[in-house]
Amino acid sequence: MKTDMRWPSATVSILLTLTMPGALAGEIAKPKVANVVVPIRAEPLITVAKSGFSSSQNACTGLERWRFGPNVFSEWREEMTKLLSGSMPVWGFVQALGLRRQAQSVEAKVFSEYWVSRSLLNGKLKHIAWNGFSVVASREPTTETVGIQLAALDCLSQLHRRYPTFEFPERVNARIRNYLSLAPNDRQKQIVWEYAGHLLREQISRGEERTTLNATLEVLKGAGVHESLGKGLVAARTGNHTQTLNQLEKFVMNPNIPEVLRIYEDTAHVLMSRAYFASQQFDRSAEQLKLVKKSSNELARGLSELAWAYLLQEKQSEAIGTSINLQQGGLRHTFTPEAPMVMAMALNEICQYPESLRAVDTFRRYYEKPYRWLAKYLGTGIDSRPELYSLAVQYLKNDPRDRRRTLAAAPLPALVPNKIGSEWTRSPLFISHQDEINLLIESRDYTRSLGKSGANEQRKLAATIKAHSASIKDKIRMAKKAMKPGQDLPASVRNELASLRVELTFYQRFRQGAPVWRVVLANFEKNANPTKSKLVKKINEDLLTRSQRMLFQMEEIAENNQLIEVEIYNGASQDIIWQNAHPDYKDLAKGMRDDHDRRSGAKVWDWGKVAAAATEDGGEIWEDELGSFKADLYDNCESKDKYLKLKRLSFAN
Amino acid sequence: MQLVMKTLIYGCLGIAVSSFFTAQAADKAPPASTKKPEVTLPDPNGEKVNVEQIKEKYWARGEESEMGVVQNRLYSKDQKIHFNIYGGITATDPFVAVRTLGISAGFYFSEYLGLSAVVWKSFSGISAAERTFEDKFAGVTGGGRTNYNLPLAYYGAELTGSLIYGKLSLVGKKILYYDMHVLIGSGATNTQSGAYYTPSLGIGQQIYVGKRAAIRLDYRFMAYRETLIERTLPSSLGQPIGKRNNLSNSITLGVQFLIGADK
Repeated sequence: MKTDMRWPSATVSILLTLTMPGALAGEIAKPKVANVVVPIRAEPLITVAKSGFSSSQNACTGLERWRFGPNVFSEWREEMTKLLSGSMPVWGFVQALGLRRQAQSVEAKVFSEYWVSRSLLNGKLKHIAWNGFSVVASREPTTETVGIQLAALDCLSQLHRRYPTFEFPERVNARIRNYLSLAPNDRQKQIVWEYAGHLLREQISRGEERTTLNATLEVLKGAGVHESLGKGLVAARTGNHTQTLNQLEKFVMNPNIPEVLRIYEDTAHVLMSRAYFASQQFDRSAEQLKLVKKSSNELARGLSELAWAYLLQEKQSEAIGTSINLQQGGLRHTFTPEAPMVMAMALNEICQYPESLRAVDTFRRYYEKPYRWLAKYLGTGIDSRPELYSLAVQYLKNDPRDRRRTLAAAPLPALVPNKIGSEWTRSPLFISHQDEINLLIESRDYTRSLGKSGANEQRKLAATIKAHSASIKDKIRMAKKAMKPGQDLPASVRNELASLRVELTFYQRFRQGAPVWRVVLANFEKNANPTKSKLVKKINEDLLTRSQRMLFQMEEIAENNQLIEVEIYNGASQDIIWQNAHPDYKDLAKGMRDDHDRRSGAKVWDWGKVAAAATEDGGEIWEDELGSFKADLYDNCESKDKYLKLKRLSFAN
Repeated sequence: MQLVMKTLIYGCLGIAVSSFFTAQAADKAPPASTKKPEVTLPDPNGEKVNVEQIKEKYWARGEESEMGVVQNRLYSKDQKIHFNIYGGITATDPFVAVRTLGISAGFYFSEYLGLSAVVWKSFSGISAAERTFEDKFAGVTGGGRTNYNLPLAYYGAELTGSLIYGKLSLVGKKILYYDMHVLIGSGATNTQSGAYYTPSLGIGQQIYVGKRAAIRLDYRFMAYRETLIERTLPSSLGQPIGKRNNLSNSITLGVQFLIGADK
C-alpha cells in the first residue's frame, strides 16, 4: 500500500471513529440558527426514496445529487443540501461528525463519513478529503452502503484526475470487483470503470507487473472505450504493435468518448503513430501524428517524429517543411534536436548541399548553449550545484519577455536555456507533482480560513443562544407567576425551549468538532513538509534523468551530423566534378527548374517566404500549417538523371 | 422543569468556553516576515508556481503572442500609434448630400484592441432630390423647399476591436493581408442647428499594403437627435421647428499609417 505520500488514513480514521456518548438521538427539528442561504435550483439536490438505500449522481461535482434511503433522517438530508448549495464547509463538517456519533444504521454511519470528507473537499482540504473518501471506499461494500461508497469512489476518481499524484489506496483497489458486481446499473458501473481506468494508467506509469495490469484489465471487460484505451496502453507498453493499433483505433474511432477520456486522444495518436512507424508504415504514422492537437504538449515531439516519418517515405520537401516548423514561433523554444538533423539529411537527399550544411549549422547554433550548459551542470559535483527543481521553478517564474535582461544578469548555471527549461517543465511528472506541491501550500491557507470560519460560526451561535436564553428566562418567570400549581408551561414557551435546545445541540456539535478539527490540522501540519519533500525529490530524480538523456541525445546527434557533413562534402565534390564533365548541364537544369516552378505553381499555393531559422526575419506561423508545411525546393539529383536521359536520347537520335 | 433549568445552565456555561477553532488558527498563524529572502533561487523544498500555463503549449509559458493561432504576425498593430486620412460619404436626410474628409489618430494596445480620436469635416449641401423638389414646386406658396439640418463636422472617440486577421488571395495572383474590425464610438455631430451627442457602431476592414500602411474602409451607423430649422414658411424662417432622430450611415475610405517598432 502506498500511503507514504498521502495523508495518513489514521487522521481520518480517528476523525471518523470518534463517538460521543449520550448524544441526542433521533430526529431534531429544523434549526433556526443556520445562517445559510439555499439557492433555488431547477432540479432538487436531494430526493427521498421510500425504500432502498442512498445513492448519488455526479459526486464531488457542482451537479451532485442525492437520493436518500429512509435511514438518513430529514435533518441530515437538509444539512447535506445546504453543503451542496454552498454553505460553509465547517458547518457541514461539524454536522457530519454529529451524525457520525448518532448514526444508528450502517448506511447513516457511512454516509456521515462521506459527508465529513465532502465538507473537507468543499473546504479545499483535498488531501484530507482524499483520505476520507479512501476510508469510505475501502469498507467492504454491501447493498446498503454501495451507493454511498460508489460516490466516494467517484470522488477519488475526480480528485485523481485533477491531481494524478494522489495514489489510489490498495485497500480500495482490492475491492473494485466487489463494486462492479454490486453496482446496480450501468451509470454506477461507469464509476467503477472510470476508477479502474485511472488505476490502470497509474499502474502503467509506475511500471507495475503485467499480472497486475491484467487484473485491472479484467475489471474493464465490457467497459467500452475504457477497455479499448486500457488495452491499447498496456499493449503499447509491452510493444505489441498489432494490439496497440487495434485497441487504440477502436478508442479514437468511438464517437462517444466521454469527456474524462478526451485528454488521452493525443496520447493515443502518438502511440498509434509509433506503432505504425515500428511496423514501417510511415505514411500511416504520419497521418496519426497530424491528428495531434496543435495545443497539445505532445505537438513538438509529434512534429519531430513526423519529420522522420516523411523522410523515411522519401517525402523530403515535407520533412524539411516540418523541421522548419520546429524552428519558428513558440516551438523554437522546444527541445527537438533531431529536427535540424532530419532537415540536413533531407536536403542532402535532394542534392541541396549548401542548404544541407546550413541545417547542420542550425543545430550547432541552437543547441550549443543547451549542450554546454548541461555538460557543465552535470559535470559539477552534486554538493556544489543547485537542485534541478529550483532551476526549473526559476525558469517558470521568469517572464519569457524578460529573458534577455535576465540573461545578462544571471551567471551560469543559474540560468537555464529555454530548450532545457521547456523540456524539463513539460514533463507530466513535473507538472503533476508541482500541482500537488501548490495544493499543499494552498491548503495551509485553507485550514486557517476554515478554522476562522468555524470560530466565527461558533461565536455567532453563542451570541444567539445567550440572547435567546435571557429572553426565555423572563418569559418563564412571567409564566410561572401566572401558572396555577400543577399546570404546565404555556406551549409558546415550551416551543421556544425546544428551539433553544436545538441551538445548544448545534453549539455542542461545534465544540465537539473542534478537538477533531485540531487533530486534523495537527496531522496536516505534521505531514505537509515530508510530503512536499518527497514530491520535490521525485521531481529532481525525473529532471536529472531527463537532463542526462538530453545530453546524450545531443552528443549522438552531433556525431551523426559529422557523418552527414562528410556525406554532404562527398556529394558536393562529386557534384562539382560531374558539372565540370557536363558543362551544358547548368543551362539545361535552369530550364528544368523554371519548368518545375511553373508546374508546381499551378498546384501549390505559395503563401510567402518562411525563414529556415528562428533568428531570421521569417513569415507568419499559422497553427493549422504546423505539420502540413512543404518546402518548395527543387530536387537537384533528379535534374541530373533527367539531363542524362535527355543526353542519351539525343545520342540515340 | 429540571430539563428547563438544565438547558439554561448548560447554555450559559457552554458558551463561556473559548473557541477552539480561533485558538488553533491564531496559534498556527505564521510570523510576519520583515526581511526579504536573500536567496535568488526558489526554495529547493518546494515552492508554489503556476503550472496551469504549461499544461497546454508548454513552450509558450502562457505568453499571449506565442499562444495564438498566428505567431510572428507579418503585419502587427500591437503597441503602435496609428494615423488615418480618409474621405467618404454619409447617407442621412435624403434631401441632403454629405461628403466627408477627416483624420483620426490613436493607439493599438494589442493586436485586438485600439482607441482613437476621430474628426471629420462634412461638406454638406442639398441633394439631387431636394433640387428636383425645389424645381418642381418652385411656384407653389409655402412649398418648393424642405426643412433640413446640414451636418458640418463630427468629432469623437472610438474603440476598435480587431476580430479577424487573415490572408486572402487576390485572383490567385497576390496575397492580401486583411484585418476586420468593429467600432464603438461616442462623439458629437456639429450641425447648422447645434452640436448633438452621437453614439456610433461600425465595422471596417484594412488591407495592408506594407508593414506601415494599410487601405482602410469603414462603415459607421450613427444616431443623434437634432433640431430642425424652418426653411419653408416665411413667417418662421430660420426658427427651430422641432426635434427628430437622425440616423446616418457613413462610409469612409482612407489610408492608415502605423508608427512604432515591431515587437
